[in-house]
Amino acid sequence: MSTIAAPRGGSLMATVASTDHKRVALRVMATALLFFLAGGVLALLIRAELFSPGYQLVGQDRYNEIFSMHGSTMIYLFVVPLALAIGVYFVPLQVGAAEIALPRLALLGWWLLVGGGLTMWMGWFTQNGPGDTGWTAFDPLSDAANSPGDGMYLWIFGVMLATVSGLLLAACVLGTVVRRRAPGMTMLRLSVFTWSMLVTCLLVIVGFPVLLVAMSLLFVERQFGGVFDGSGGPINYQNLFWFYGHPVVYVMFFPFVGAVGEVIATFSRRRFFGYRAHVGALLLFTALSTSVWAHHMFATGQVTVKYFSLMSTALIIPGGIEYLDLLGTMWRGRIRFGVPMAFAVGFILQFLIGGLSGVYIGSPPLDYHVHDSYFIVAHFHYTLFAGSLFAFFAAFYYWWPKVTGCFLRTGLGWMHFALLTIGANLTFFPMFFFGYDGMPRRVADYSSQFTDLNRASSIGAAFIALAVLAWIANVVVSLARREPAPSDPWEGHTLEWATSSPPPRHNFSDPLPPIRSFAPLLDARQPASEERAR
Amino acid sequence: MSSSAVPLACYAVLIGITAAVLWVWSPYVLPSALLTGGAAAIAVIALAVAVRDRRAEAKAPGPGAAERPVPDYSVSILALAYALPTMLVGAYLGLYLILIGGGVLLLGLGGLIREWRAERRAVRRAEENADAP
Repeated sequence: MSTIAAPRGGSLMATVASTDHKRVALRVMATALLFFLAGGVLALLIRAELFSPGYQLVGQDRYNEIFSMHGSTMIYLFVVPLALAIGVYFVPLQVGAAEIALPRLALLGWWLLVGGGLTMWMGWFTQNGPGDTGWTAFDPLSDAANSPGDGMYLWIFGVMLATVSGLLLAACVLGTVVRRRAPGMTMLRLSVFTWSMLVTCLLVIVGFPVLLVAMSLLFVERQFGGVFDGSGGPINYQNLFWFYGHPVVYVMFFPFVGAVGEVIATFSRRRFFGYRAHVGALLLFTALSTSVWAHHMFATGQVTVKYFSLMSTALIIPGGIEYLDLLGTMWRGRIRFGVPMAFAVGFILQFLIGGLSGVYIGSPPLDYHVHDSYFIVAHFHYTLFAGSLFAFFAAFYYWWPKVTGCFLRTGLGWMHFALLTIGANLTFFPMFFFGYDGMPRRVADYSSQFTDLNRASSIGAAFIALAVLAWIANVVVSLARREPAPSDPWEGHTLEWATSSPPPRHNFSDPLPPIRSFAPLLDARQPASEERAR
Repeated sequence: MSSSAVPLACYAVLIGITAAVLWVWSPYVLPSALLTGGAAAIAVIALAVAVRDRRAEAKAPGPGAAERPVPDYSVSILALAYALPTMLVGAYLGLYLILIGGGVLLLGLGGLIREWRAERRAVRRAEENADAP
């Protein structure tokens, strides 16, 4: 495919208005990572407050604001945009496209994320503070009587803008997979990562508009009232919210598991194991994850408990297939245990804890016991932090040479990995115990019986902060004193490794290699392996 | 699996099945309606993709058919990115913000139309060059 380029803009124009998918993706990632640091500071405040029983740093009201903005920032402004941004950068490269579909919408997606984030955080400068009703903003807690002030409105607008941003980015990625594939790139020759992005976009398209509806109704409720009145009103809000709120967990998971699949296949020097089963499992996983949202609402007593419990438990089938494929890829592979592989294995082990604790709370009697306790906090931090964030770092160390043309420092990478592993487990594992024993979430004060485990958890948070500092140091050092990387330093399997590092404006200067499977570069290196795959 | 619509259709069918089970099992309307709506939305997208795929296959590629305009930057999008949050916040803070945002939105849409027309001209020029001996 040839392209016609408009005249290039100057540097300011290239910074703020470039429609190059790689530039847009890097800006979305940078924005998301800034919000990650901001949300991380809030997390440190939470853990500092919980270091001892009683009120140390803040009172309960300020604490409500801090944990609400921490959760909102991490989900709406960090993990979701980050997951989609990785797709915006790499999906066009992996399908052999010169450009993303609908590049202007991708640019708009970035700017709406910036606008949404700033709008949400502007709440700190209002009289009543920012949104303080958790990342869920359940009605009637979030109505005008119970949460007065401008900050809550700004929170609603911020969520809406960030949600539209996610929708636009997902539409671009989906459009690229559907309309921009290179000749020969059939659906069953898409890479594992591209498949994971495809199903992620489907979840975004189904779930995100419903959140927009929920936020619009919440706004009308706050302005005029009457929307969620009556016996079923608050449950209707919860249904709308969780119809978005559970699939978004998989929006924050699938892209990262796809990236881990690429890392494991490359570092095991083996073709990805069970590709077709993996694709089928992804589709099943996607459908089931759309159908389980009300397990968050078991304690309301107004959901079809058997159905949602059955669907939630059924998630273990596609989840198990994906795990089997990842382990099967490593089995008998010639494994290079570099930093990306370490983070990938860390993801597999730690997400297992998050996933299995999810099966546990998919059971209604057990869910009733641990509902709204720190057990839930431990569960979702094991899936999102000890899981998805580790997978993000695997992807980060893997693709950094492609994006920048230079290597990260291995020593600092291992230090980052070690500190983050210690920090994540020290922070979140104790939460299972004091949560199971009855410590409720979202409280600034607690019974003294939970002191020791809370202190361990707070010390773990300090380790995480050190790990993030090591990571930032690695990025700064690597950019300041560059160690140039070749175009394919890891002997990758997919098309992004067939172009220069970083890729040129239209992605590929040379003709693409023949595409006869989902691992065209491996085919070129190992023709015998290609024959066996056929 | 040659058509891009197949995975979308599979997803629509799968959540259609779970929606059907929920209709049978659940006394509540909203959850079943949400799931059915999701299945229907994806089915519509799958259908649109299938139709476009079929049209693209049927269309004989002419000279310059593979040419596609790729913008390097878009100033008009900046106007939209300013207008949309301004109008949204204006819903709470006041009509003046909606009016300011609306004006900028119109400017942005006008700019987008200009950009698209410029791209079409560029495609036409490329096709003429391809036709030239």
